[in-house]
Amino acid sequence: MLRIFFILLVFCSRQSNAQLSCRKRPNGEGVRLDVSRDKEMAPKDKSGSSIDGSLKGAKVTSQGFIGSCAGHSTSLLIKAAHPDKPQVIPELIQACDQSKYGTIDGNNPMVLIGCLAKNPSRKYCPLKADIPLDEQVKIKSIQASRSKFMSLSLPDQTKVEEALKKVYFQLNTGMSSETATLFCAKNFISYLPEGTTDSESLGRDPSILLRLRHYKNLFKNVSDHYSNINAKGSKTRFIKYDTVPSNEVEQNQQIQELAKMQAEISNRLEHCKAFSCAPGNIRNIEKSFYSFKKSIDEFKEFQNDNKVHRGGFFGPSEEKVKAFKQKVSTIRKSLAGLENSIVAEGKGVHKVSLDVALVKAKMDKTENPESRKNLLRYKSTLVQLAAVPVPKRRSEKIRFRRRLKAAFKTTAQKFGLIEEAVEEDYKIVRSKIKKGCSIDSLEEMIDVFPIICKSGEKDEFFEKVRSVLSPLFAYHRPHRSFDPSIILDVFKTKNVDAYTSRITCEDSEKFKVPIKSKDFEYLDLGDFSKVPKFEKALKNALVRKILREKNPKIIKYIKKIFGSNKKLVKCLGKDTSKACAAAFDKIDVHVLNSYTSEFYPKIVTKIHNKYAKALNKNKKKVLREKLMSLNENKPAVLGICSSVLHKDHRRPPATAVSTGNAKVDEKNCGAHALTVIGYRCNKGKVEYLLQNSWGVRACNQYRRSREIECRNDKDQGKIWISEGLLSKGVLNLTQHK
Amino acid sequence: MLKNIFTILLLLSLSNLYAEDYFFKGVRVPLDKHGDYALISKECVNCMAKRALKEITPMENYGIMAIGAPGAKLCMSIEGAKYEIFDSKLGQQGFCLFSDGSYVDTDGLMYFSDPSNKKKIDN
Repeated sequence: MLRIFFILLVFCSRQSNAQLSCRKRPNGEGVRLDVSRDKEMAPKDKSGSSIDGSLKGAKVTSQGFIGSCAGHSTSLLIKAAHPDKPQVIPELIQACDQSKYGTIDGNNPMVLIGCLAKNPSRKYCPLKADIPLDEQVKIKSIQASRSKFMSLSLPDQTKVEEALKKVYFQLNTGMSSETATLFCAKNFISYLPEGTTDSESLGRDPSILLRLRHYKNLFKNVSDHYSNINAKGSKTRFIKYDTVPSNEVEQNQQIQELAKMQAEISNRLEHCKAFSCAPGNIRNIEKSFYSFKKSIDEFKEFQNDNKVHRGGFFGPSEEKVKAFKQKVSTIRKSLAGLENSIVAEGKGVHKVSLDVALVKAKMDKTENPESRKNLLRYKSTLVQLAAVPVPKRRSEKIRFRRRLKAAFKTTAQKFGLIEEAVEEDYKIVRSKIKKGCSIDSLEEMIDVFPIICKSGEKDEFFEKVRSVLSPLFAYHRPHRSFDPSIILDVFKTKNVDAYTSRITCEDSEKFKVPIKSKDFEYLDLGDFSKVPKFEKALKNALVRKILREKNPKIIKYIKKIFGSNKKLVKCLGKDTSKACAAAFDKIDVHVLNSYTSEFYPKIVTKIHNKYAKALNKNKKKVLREKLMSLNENKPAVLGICSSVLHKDHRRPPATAVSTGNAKVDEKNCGAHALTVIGYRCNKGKVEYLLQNSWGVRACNQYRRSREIECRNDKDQGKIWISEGLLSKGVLNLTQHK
Repeated sequence: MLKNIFTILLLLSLSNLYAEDYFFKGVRVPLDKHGDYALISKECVNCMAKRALKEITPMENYGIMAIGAPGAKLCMSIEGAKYEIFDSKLGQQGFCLFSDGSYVDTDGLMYFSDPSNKKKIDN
């Protein structure tokens, strides 16, 4: 009886300690989940026969510059758990929890799994829907449905098709019209008939129209601002001169200067009225405008300075104010007139030649590309600001507004604008982010701030494309066609809503998989760090720090967290460590660490480094135990410090430390998530196969080390890594139970 | 024998095509290999993408950020460049796009950001 008990005990202990091992196993033996049954490393079923890996055929996705690594690895984890279902688009998974989007906590797939479980109504769109060839099919179907449109006897159907593609890109990608423009620009060039001259080509570049509208908008802001001041003022109109300037002459000079500027703008606009504006003229207007704005800013500054010196100056004479107002009104009229003439003539966009290279060459000579770039940057900044949802809670709302105001200020400074103009533009952009907006506003795409379309009805789409493009082609002549730059990009991938909603996912319900948090196991850094001497040292150090803490904010926070431990709370801030240390006994060191380490990143890092060897050994052991799941065809997602992989981090960390202090962690660690999809034995040592989300060609992004094996031509975004190096970087692990 | 060699060569070239076929939103992206190091837009003689390969410096010069793929961040550090993801049969790859319509894959960009690799750029 005793013998049986002993055998059972040994058996059970072996079972609980079961782990991957390469002792006495030949080189290359192991498992990888991305292969099919005919490969040696395919996983085995219970009978020992090779089976398909659960990630066989899974698409290697790329996160780009977005912090969506957890979404990409979770996508693989869910795919492996439900191999019969299509792979879900990683960005959709990531977008479930936008609060963590792009932050250091963003490497935790369990947060995303929890979010998906809580929000079963979310869309689960299959990656397949994004297969490019499908889109080509859709474009063909658009062609088929526009027979009437095609009967306009256009000489070159290909051009029309390209134009449609262009519109299609913008509507369906929600982010890439600028890029599409670049691409199509190349295509258009190839469609140009030989010998095309540029006699009519530079007619009107729609981007000029865009810019003018932008200026007009800015101008309106500035003049409105001063109109308001006029309305409020009584005797001291225009600028509230209830103060004495240090130098009256100087002030008069300023006014004269301003009047001169306005006269200059007016003159230039007069020339443009006849629509003979070459890009160079517009550039001059642009220059004048900014000088004008600058003058107004100077006035503001002047006014502020004057507030300091109170006295009896009553500002410019009524005459001067009148003259100024007259100028403002002239400029406004001129701008309106100019725009009207452009709008009227805008129908002649068809006159723009397709010789993009030539247009570009001309523009390079006559235009200021920097200002054009700035405008784009300005718009994308606004879109990013506008994409942040306004919080519902009052307290958060106040904070949000404060942050927004600061952002306006920064943006205004960055682009040399006035804050009011930025705020106004922000409102415009915000009003254009609408749910379910269709292509109703396709025309608005030539406006300063194109509408952000989240979805589009198919039939409506065809109709609209037709109605919008028809006028463009109405006077179509051979070798003239749609100018790609008519569509201007403001969409950026950082705009999560636009990014994730770009895919029409009508069949979402079909692809839904039941996701429950309890089906997944999660191990945090504490689970990997169960090394008694380390835990003791860390606890002692933290307790010592906490008890000597003098910062009232930190004490308040700790009181809030550990409020139930009255003894501890009493001890806080007092250097009575011996008497009070006992109060901490009942608190788990990892809990203590997770709540307090952000205040003491240096000491926490120091202790981790001191016990790095023991910690890494333990991590290896836990990894080997947990990654036995690979034999059962189950991958795992690892949260790691990307500094173990990253080429530009000179040395990998001694061991991963998550202090909770964002700055320290970003510098020393760089939280990242990737999927372990296999292991192999190499000279008696275990190596793991990782699927990363840095692209199918990513080898040059990894550090050069014998411990990393990467081949761009064969590995498609996967790397083999030694368990020694990997264990240094491990922060957490998530796997399907 | 000659026929066999021809078949092998054909198969090899086909397999190569298969691996290097990239699409952007439904449009096949014409690519050339720049040595074995980078995928660059076809017929890119004096294009901005090639200029970028010559001028790019390591990421450490721009400061390392924790978020995103290193190659994507390197691309974003280039004034006026735009980052986009292209699809292939096997997966997705980031490319860096320039205003003249030329493009290069971010891994190639990473490779040539290393000063010791600059000499491998064709002129």
